[in-house]
Amino acid sequence: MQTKIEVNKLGNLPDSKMRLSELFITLSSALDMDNYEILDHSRRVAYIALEIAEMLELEKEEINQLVLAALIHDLGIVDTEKKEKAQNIFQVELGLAESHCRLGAELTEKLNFMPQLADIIYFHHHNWSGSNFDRVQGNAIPLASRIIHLSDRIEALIDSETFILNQVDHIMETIKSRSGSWFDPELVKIFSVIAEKESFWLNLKVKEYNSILEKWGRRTRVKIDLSDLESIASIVAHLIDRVSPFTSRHSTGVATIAAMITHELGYSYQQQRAIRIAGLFHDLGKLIVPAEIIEKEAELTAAEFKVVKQHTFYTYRLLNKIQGLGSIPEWAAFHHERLDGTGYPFRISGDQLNTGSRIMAVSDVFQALTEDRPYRPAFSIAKALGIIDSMEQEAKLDAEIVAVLKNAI
Amino acid sequence: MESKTDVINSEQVVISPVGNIDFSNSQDLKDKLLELFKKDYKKVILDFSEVESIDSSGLGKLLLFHKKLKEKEGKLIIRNVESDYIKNMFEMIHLNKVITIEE
Repeated sequence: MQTKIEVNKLGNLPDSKMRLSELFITLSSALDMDNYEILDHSRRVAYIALEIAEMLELEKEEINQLVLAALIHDLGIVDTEKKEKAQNIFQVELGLAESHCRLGAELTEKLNFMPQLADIIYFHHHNWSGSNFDRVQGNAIPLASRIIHLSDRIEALIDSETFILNQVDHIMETIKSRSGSWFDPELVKIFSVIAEKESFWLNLKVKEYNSILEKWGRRTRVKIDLSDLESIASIVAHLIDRVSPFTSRHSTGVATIAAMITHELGYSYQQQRAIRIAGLFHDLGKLIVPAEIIEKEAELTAAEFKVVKQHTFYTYRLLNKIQGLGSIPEWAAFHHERLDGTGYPFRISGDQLNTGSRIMAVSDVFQALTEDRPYRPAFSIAKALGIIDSMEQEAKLDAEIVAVLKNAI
Repeated sequence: MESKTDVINSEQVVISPVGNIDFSNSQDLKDKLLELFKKDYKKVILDFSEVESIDSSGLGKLLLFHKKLKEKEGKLIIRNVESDYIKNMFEMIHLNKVITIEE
């Protein structure tokens, strides 16, 4: 948490340099957020890919592209059931392989500052020989895609319930039996050498891959501008909004309204854009909430509401891991905090909420009230403003910001 | 901001703004839209063929206007977006999923 807050200020813009690894690890956590917990599939695949790439002595830049792509290789998988199938079952159905590779590549194209990644993701289920959803085979498949394919299938074979070293023989037999058909035989050979090291497997067991990836990530520090950051936020918003038709327009609504308010308060173009980015990120943690709860038609039980309440905690936790985001983590994650300290989950009050966080709170309330929810239709704008007025009078929302919103309507 | 209004019939109207929709004129656009809103048009079409850019204030006002129209079972449609900058921005923030954008 921040140590000192200047409440009368918007907050800080992001730095001009960041580690791509940190941005992508946050994206990978968003992908791996499952009902109630964050799994590590993407990071584990990225670690295996990194080990293979280092053994192959690839160039630094090639390794970076490969590992970054590995972190988001499953961007195209839409629901939990399909994720389960793709990540835990060794043989992925052709239809599922094709659909998620195509969609993943399409989404990755949004990251136009990293133009190579879309291709790597497109080919990550391509077999070395045999049937693919197009005719590309063998060396025509990008090397990075071949490495991710192998790493991904190795990860899918690991059973978290069984002692990992007791699984190595079986995993290696299975992988070798697909050498030349599914996998590039050269890569299988290379991997056989890596697999002899107990330490490779134990790094997976004790989650040492987190610090290995952290160390690798120091090499990925580059110039990032707001446009690059916005393309990442755009993907995150897409992931959140695709969970349910009821959330499908929420992130964009909050981002658009928040940027407008920032504008009307006289802040710069850069500041408006940074707030919009925070708006696109604000519900990142919603990915931890099971769709059944998001789509429940009746009022939530107390237990279900507790599950929902975690979402801003996760938004903060995931964004705050990225160094150099300026105030974006606070702007995005404090939207359920209230000036009188009755919000959640940090229970902070006005003296710790800068203008950006206050803008996000007002925008989120307004957008939420004026959209359909499974348990109620959208409120009219007049009714929503009435509720916002009373929240302002109870000293929960910022009066000046509420006035700016009303004036814009 | 210059703009042209073409009434198609009692239900539909087309507005064609010209140039940049920004801080200096988004209030004008809002006033114009509100005027049409009061006249109960069900379908308000914004022709963007001569719009070069739009800022946060303009985008926010379009979204708010979309909400108002929707409340009366009306619809806001943006048509003929020529500027790649505007197209990309709508896609980037997913506003094209909220406001109908016609080719």
